Amino acid sequence: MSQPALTPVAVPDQEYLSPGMYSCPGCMAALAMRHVLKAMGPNTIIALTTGCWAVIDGPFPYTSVKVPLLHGAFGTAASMARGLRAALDIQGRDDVQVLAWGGDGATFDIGMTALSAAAAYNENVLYVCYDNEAYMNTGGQQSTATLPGVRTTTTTESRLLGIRKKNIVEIMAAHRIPFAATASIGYLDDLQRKVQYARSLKGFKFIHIHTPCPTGWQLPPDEGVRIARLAVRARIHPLYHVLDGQQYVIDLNPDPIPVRQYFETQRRRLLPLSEEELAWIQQDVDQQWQTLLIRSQCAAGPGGSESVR
Amino acid sequence: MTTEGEFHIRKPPATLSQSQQPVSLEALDDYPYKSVALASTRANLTGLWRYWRPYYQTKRAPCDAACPVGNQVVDYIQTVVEGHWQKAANVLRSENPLPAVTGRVCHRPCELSCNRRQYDQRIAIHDIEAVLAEIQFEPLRFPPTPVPRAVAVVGSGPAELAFAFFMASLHHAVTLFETAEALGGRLRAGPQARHLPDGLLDAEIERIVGERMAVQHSAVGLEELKAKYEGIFGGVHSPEELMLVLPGGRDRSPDEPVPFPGVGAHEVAQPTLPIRAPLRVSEAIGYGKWVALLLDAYWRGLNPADTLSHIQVGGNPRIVSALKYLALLTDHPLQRSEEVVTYDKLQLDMLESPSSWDPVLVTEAEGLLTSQWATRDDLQRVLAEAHRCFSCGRCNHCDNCWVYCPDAVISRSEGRYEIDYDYCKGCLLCAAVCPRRVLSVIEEEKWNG
Amino acid sequence: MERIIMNGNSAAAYGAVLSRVQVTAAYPISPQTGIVEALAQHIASGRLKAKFIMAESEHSVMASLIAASEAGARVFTATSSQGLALMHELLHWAAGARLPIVMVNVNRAMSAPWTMYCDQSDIIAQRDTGWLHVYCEQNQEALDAIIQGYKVAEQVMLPVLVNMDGYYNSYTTEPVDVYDIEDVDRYLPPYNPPVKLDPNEPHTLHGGTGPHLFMEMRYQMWEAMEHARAVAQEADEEFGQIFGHRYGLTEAYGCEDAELVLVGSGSLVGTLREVVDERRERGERIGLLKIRYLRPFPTQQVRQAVASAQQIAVIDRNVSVGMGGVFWQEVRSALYGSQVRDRPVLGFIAGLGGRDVTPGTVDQIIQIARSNPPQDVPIWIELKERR
Repeated sequence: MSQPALTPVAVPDQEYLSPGMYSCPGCMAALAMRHVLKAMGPNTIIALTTGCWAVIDGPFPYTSVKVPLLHGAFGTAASMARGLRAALDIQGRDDVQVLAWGGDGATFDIGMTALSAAAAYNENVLYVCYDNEAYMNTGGQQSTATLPGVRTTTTTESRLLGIRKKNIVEIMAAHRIPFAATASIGYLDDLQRKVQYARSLKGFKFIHIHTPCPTGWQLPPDEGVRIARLAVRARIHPLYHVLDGQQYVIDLNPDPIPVRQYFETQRRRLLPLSEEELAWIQQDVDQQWQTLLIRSQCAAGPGGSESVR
Repeated sequence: MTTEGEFHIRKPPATLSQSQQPVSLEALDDYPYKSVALASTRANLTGLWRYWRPYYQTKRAPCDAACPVGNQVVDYIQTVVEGHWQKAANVLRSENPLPAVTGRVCHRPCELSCNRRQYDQRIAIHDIEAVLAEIQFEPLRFPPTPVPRAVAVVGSGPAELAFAFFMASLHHAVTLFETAEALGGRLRAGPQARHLPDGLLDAEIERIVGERMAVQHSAVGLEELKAKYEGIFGGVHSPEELMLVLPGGRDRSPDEPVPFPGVGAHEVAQPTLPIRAPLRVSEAIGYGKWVALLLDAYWRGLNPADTLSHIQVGGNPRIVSALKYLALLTDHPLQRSEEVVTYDKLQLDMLESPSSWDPVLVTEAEGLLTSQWATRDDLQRVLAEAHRCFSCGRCNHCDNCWVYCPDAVISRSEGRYEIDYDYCKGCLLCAAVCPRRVLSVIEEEKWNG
Repeated sequence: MERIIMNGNSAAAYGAVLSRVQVTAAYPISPQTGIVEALAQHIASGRLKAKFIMAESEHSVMASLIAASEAGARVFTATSSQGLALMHELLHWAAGARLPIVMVNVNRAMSAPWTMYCDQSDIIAQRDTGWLHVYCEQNQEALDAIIQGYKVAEQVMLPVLVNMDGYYNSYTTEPVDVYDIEDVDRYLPPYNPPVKLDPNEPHTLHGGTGPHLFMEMRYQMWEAMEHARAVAQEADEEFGQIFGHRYGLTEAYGCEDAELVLVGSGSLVGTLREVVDERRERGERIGLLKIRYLRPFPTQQVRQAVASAQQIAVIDRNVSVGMGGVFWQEVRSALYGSQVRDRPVLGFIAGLGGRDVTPGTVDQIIQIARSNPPQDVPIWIELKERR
């Protein structure tokens, strides 16, 4: 290890969540909201779609969120955000920021068309997807964010080869939005920087936060951060951002580990993997990383790696 | 049934209730016209979910546990990092009367056990110690002893000086017997002397002796000592000449066993504290301190065995801490565990990168220098080195616990973190992300603190 | 005020403009598309100061409008048929969230088989979503129903669906009064909701609600809908005073002495009206009951209108397969338990999938009604016979 990893240096003090949240112990989705709100500040309205967070917030007549929050139907975060934006703008409240918030199911699957439209129309909102790699609120069914090799409650096929996790940031970058980025709950300084940077941009911003779910992944509740960091090191979830769909910047590149080592930390959620399957997953991860490297090198130029800092 | 009454839109209050009491929606009229939250989730006491309780508890760094003197190494290094030079010097001087010496001639078991040695390079603790020895300090003040005793110290090597220093600090009347012209024993004559510049040792010994003890340069016989003094200590370095620890005093039969561990009980005897002769300088200092503190405890009527268990460092009965003894005397137990934070207990992945330091700190320290033995360059070097310290087992306010708490139940103010146990769910993520094992965990049912 | 010849779609767009809607979201579907196209033109030309959200589905249209309404904007959209069906879950949401959204539905039959012509099967399927349902006979009524819709919705905090028939209204031109907007402003004050999303006064809306709390939320919706009858009546009255058009929740036309009352809704009421006029001139005691509000259902008005009738014939441009026309069911259940409960109520299914309901169709209905037909099954009119 060359350098100790970074931890946040300037996390705003103000809390926008009340204790008593209805999240499982060690919930990384709760932590993600906590930090995104810290970065966004009080002048924010949340469009929240169905998912774990619909529960975490607390049942009527309670709430754990201190900024205005609108619960909405499944997959509607992006559409609601568009509606909020329009209503605020027409009332002259363009100072208020809109934060769309959805899980992987709501983003990768049921909310995909709405998300794509909001991005294509470059609505001035920030969309954050917290990704626990399955429909965790309903008990862990397969989504298109599920990693190959992972067993969900609805996994029926033993076939793994050729089934991939949808690359949502590439899809969003292809809309040529100002800012599309990955982030990890294990690297909160990086998340903090990205959200604060996204805030400063007009137009559609998308951040995909990897939030391992201790409950759903059958891990002890204190494991979320460690696993998230290993996912970054295994390059399952590399940390990068894309400006205007063009400039790729790798934000952190900690010492790599093989996928095998990452998988060993979470055996309980995995299918029995053959050597061939493991090799295929590793090869796929390597290829993706190479592509990312090439893109980031091509894009190195003005506004490159320093742009988020 | 329908409810009679005129139709109206029931507007909810503008602000959320922050009560821990549940919201009462007993009557239809209590409801808002739409599902608007009326209260924060503070009514949901998620602390009841908790099986394991995390709590803050300072632990022992391996450097501390290895130091024969009983130095609180991490404490003074981190106090320097925090920018409090004088406070750091106080910590250093509280445990070690000869830091300028040990900073130069010690065999440095602290550095050998430094966790950072396994990571990249050990911290140059001796350098920090030597420079810090030149900073102004306030000596440790013990509460007065009920009956001050007359104590003789024979010889003035490191053990005797340490014994004399702590006895004097504990308000006993100390007389130091040294036939040589200059105090210091082997520090003047031994192989270490060449590492100690002229004047440095004088200054150090002057700080110990000062006005606080009598010094006699004449030879003295054992019988005379036994007649006049309640405690006699000396000859540690030259056991064949004189080995004596006599905590009995005049009223006491010399053969009567003294009920404290390690120290033997007969008239002329090598103490049974298992010491390897010849003692190295820092071991000798530690030995003198050990005897002084336990003898004082005995005189104060404390059980020496209990006392030792309270004041030992890192679970090692050979190493004692004066600060811990002070805490014991002032009935102010330190919130710390003597569990040693070894390398495998660190969360290396969660370590912060070294923070930069403010040059103003160096200027401030310059004003606190008391001698020419340290310069601005030394201060700069030492400050940079201090910032490399992992602070094993001692909270350095890296904020990880606060930052990573998913439930926002850790508050931070004035350098302290507090866990709100009404809401902490016991996920223990705070403990998992603490790089230095400051957070301890206890099973909830067994908690009685 | 200006009287302009226009089709129903244009009239609806004018209704939205005069109501000063602030946010509209739209997705194309025939035969509604003309409304949002016209609205886009009004916005582009600056006649209407509003935000136009071009959505990628009707589901997103309603989601956007729900959010915009929660943020304090007056919102509007229009849809049809499959598009309305795609919105379905959000129609419940909008009503449960107590949002005064006004939406025009241009009635079009539900596929399959694939069709784009008029019937009420789209809107009937949304009957129980908690919206007010208003059925329009003419283009003027559509414009007026939108303005009135906001007036009512913003008092009872429930959304309003304004229905007009595809083709018969949407693509048929009629003279329509377009009022001066200042006059409308006097009738319809700016929208000022009791609760809105605003960082200055943060609220969380619609968290999960348990069994111990849910029923009271529904009861309040019920209460609001019940209250909506009086509010709608009052709003209609005030509207009539200012603009000269009055509709009521129902319209009873020649019912006082009628032996047979024809009951209908939507554009076919115009046809019924013509036949009734003609028959009454010939001395036949035939009346017409136009049902304008399906929700809240005007039970008292219906009972009153048919009080003297020997026979009631309900013409439905929809069918609830397995039971019959929905207006037929509604009228029957409204009369049950009243003094007119023993009057025969006949149910006719006509004009599905855009088949014309002509005066000849109505003649047939009257003829069959007089032949003492079965009362317990719907009678399908102008259905091809078996070989």
